Amino acid sequence: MKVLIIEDERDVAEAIALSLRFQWPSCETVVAEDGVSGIDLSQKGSPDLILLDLRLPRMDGFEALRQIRRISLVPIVIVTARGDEMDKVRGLETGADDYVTKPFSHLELLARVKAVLRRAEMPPVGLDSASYDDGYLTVDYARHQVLVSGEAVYLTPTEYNLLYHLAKNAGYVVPHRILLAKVWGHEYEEETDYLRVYVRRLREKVERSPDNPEYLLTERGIGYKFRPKNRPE
Amino acid sequence: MRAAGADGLAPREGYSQALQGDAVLDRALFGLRWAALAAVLLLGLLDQTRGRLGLMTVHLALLIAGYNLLVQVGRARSGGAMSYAGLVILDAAVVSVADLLAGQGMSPIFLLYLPVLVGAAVAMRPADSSFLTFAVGLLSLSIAVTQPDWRWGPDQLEFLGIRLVALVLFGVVSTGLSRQLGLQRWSTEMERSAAARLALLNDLLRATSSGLDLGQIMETVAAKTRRGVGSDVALALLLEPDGARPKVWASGDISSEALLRGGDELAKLAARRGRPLHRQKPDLLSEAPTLSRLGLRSLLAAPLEADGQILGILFVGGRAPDAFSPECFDWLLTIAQHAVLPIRNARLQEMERANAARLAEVERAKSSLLSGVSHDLRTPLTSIKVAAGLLTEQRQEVGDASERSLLAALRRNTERLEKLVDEILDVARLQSGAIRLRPEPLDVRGLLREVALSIKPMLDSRGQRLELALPESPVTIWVDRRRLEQVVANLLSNANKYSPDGSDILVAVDEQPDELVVKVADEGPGIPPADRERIFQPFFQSARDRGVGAGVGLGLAIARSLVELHGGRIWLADGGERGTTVAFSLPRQPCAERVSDEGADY
Repeated sequence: MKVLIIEDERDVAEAIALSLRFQWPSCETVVAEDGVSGIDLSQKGSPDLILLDLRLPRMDGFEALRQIRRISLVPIVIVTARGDEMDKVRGLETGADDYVTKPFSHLELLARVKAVLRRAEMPPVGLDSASYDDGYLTVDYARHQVLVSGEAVYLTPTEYNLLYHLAKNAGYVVPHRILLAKVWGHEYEEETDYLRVYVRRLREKVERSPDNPEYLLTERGIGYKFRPKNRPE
Repeated sequence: MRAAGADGLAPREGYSQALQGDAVLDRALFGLRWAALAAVLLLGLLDQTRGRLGLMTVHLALLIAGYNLLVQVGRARSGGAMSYAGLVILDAAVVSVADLLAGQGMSPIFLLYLPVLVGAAVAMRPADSSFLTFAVGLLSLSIAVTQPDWRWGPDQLEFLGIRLVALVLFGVVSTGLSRQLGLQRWSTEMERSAAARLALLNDLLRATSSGLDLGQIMETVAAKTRRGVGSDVALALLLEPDGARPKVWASGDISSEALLRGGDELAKLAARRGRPLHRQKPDLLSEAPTLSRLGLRSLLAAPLEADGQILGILFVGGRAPDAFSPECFDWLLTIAQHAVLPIRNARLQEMERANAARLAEVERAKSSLLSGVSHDLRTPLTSIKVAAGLLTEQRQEVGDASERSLLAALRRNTERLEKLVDEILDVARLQSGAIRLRPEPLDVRGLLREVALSIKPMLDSRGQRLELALPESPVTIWVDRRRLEQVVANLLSNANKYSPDGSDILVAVDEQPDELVVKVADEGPGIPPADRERIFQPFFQSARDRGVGAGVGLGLAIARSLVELHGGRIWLADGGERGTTVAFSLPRQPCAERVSDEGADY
């Protein structure tokens, strides 16, 4: 496994590399000390995972994130300091998959990295044969395919998983914690920011008008509900 | 060129001046001169019988007619530059010379003294005009008796008597009349000017007390002062409390930039002298060349003084050399006294605003320093934390006991440091209002049980027992789960820290109609009465904290802020004989404003 660490603090980069090798002794780590070389290495090195500090010299971490996302779907975990909650949300919105908060322990870091790698894999195909179809929106559980007005929509594994869990419980409110545990993992039960960001992304991909959703409804303070529609016939 | 006060509101010096510059009176006086001259001419012609001397009288009368004409035309053309009082002296001299030249003891020329006396009565102060009457009488008497044809006969004595009585009578009567007339005019003028002054002061107070800022007030004061004094220019100068350069506001018919530059000179002058300039001083102008260059020839200054403190100076300037009378100065002082209160109030308000802004700035700086420090500590902490964790794992099997104990201490203290850094950041963010709640409906009992479970190891290590007195049925209210957990954990951790080993800690929930009260009671030493008020302040350390491995006194402050963010209160309850009972309330109805916008979409 190849991991790119974009972090200007050498000691922190070293701590991350050591933690990763503690778990995966054969893990290969490359360190970039600023955003520009980070983007460069993300293209040349084709890493399996990127750890990105948001406070970087030469280039803002968000800008680096945006540029990497433009050309690559590699899982990215951003490194923030606690208190910068807006940074965290912005990072997720910009395309990060997860984040770790300084100061973190090797266990926290490894848990996040494992979860991100796990989510990056699509669930195995063919376990579920049913599908949802109302004429406008189709969710094919067997092939993990989503069609809007008959056209295939590309969803990331996490986006698909979220839509899957909501659509399978169509008509019922699924609480935040349950959604988080099912899609992201139990250690994410408190991370309602993930839900907000991903529900927003899903709405933009499947709703006619993302600001006035018809399928993905917010039950404020409680959870989300998928509202099924009758097939017009 | 006009004199200040001509259309200003300051009263004239006195009644004698009240008659000056009056065109009707002027014409009357000249009429009297011509009438007297006509009489002399007539008497001279009638006296032709007496030959040479009579002819002399006629010639002299014609000469004086020429003089009269010259004076009258000159006065009309110069616009009254020569005061009538000056003219009176010249008249007296001319008439005396004519009387002397007449060469006749009983000359009718003496009649010409009469308009001189009337003029003196009108134009001079009573003492001066009496003195002139006396001098003229003596002069005419001695001229008469020294004439070559003079003999001390009964006719001559009678003539002398008539001459004296006429002079004295004219002098006294006209003095009295002019005094009466002057008084009347003066009092009318006084009434008019008093009313106008009151109106101006009212105007000034109204204009300056309607919530204007300091600059607007100063501008109004300058404008009203100029109108009130009737000066060509007025400048209002404000001294800065911290010795900075004074600010100047100007009003006048000269361009205001030029005036303001002149005002700067005055300001420097005032600053250099260290105290304001009270009196009219011609030398003021010599030190303010810009104002001199602008054509100002007189300057008056009055302090803006309140409670013995000089806030500023009010200047008026005129183009005439002696534009301002002492009354003008008194009037300027009055204006200054009325203007100073609104100025002081506005300045106090301004200072209050500035102070509040400065305090807020300090508060902001403190918060940003705290969050900056907390932020910067995280990076080194990360290194330490990862290193301690990895080392612990690696040495788990191979290390000896002392090595493991050292590593445990390293981890423990890293955690403690981390908690401290978190708390500092929380305080900073709570103070700057950066923390927003994300409420959700929650059964508080479950939350309390969870926190109790998480703190159990700490309680067990000291043999403390925790009792939860919770209602039978669910108690669901809207709260931010993470933040409420933080509050309860802070209170329980305090109870754990300050209670003796083996003691009991009680957590109870009391359901009120519109709020929920949670109490955490311990059996510790309690809070000294002196500290009860301050215990919820950030960084407060009670005497009981000494020697205990406590934090820096942020737990309760954070708990209070978080409870208040939820719309509740936190307080020290009366827990009986010993121990500490901290209680907090949470409203049962969620308040719309407390639900953050940010949370609206999750």
